[in-house]
Amino acid sequence: MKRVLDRNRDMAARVREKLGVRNVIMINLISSPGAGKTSLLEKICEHLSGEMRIAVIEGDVATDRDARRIEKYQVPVVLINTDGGCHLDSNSIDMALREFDLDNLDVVFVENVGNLVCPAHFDLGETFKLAVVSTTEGDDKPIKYPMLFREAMAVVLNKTDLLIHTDFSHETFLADMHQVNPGIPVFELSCRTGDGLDEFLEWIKLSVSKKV
Amino acid sequence: MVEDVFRIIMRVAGENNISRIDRVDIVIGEYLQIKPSLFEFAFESAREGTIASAACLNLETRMVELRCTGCRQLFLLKDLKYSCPRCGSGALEITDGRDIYIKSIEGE
Repeated sequence: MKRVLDRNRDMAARVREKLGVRNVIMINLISSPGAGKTSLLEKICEHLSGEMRIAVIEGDVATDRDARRIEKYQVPVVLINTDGGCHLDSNSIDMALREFDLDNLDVVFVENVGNLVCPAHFDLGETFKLAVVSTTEGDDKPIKYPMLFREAMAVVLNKTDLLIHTDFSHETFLADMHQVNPGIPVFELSCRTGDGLDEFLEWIKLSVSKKV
Repeated sequence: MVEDVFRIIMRVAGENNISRIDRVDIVIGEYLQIKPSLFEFAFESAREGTIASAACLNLETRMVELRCTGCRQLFLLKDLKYSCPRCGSGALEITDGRDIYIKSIEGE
């Protein structure tokens, strides 16, 4: 019997150890395309790069557009183009981490490829996964993609400013979310207006300082 | 995922001096949400031109099995309800159905 994901899991364990001995936290951001991962990272870099040493790994199917958006904040960025691949794996993360001076970092944010299924299968050696969803995607994501929302440590619901223009049911979303993962923290915010962002950034600060 | 499966199949076949693969048994945990029909389709594309080109794929799915970390109740996941049917707790561990593995490879 051969477990198919063992090779990825073994490398993830090595990545986790490499980060652990240096006290570096790694947060793996997973969402659909267009939910706002890069916007959220921009906000994190804008508000927190003064008080913690941040680096970003950008996973993208193609182009360096997201990486260029992050570079503006003067944080080290490594781009992984998957050339059509629908997720990142621990081997590509291990390679990307070699580009950073890990002894002088507190946290590495990984922006996974936009996809709610495959990225949840592949352990990257992260400290935890953060799921990002947006109101315009509909309220049914937690129940349709339960693995991600179970594996995630917390959830960001982005684009709350657009809520009034959608049929998104807050009640359904939260009920499904807590059915799939009871007690998971949900941060409701809008990267565009900044509403709700403070609470989320405080949580990130706490996660990085406590090394959860 | 199918690429990963193929890499393992080819390695195992090589290690066991198998030059023609006739049958592969794969078990997919339902937690992964991999649709068997899509997996089969990808497998059929991947096997072309390899020693597994005529291999029959046998897929088996495993239900998600959970154990309550509080009262130790063991149960199968139903309707995606991740809470203990006995004590209602949401603190659970997955004991089965979260992996994909190759159970056996037959050939000569």
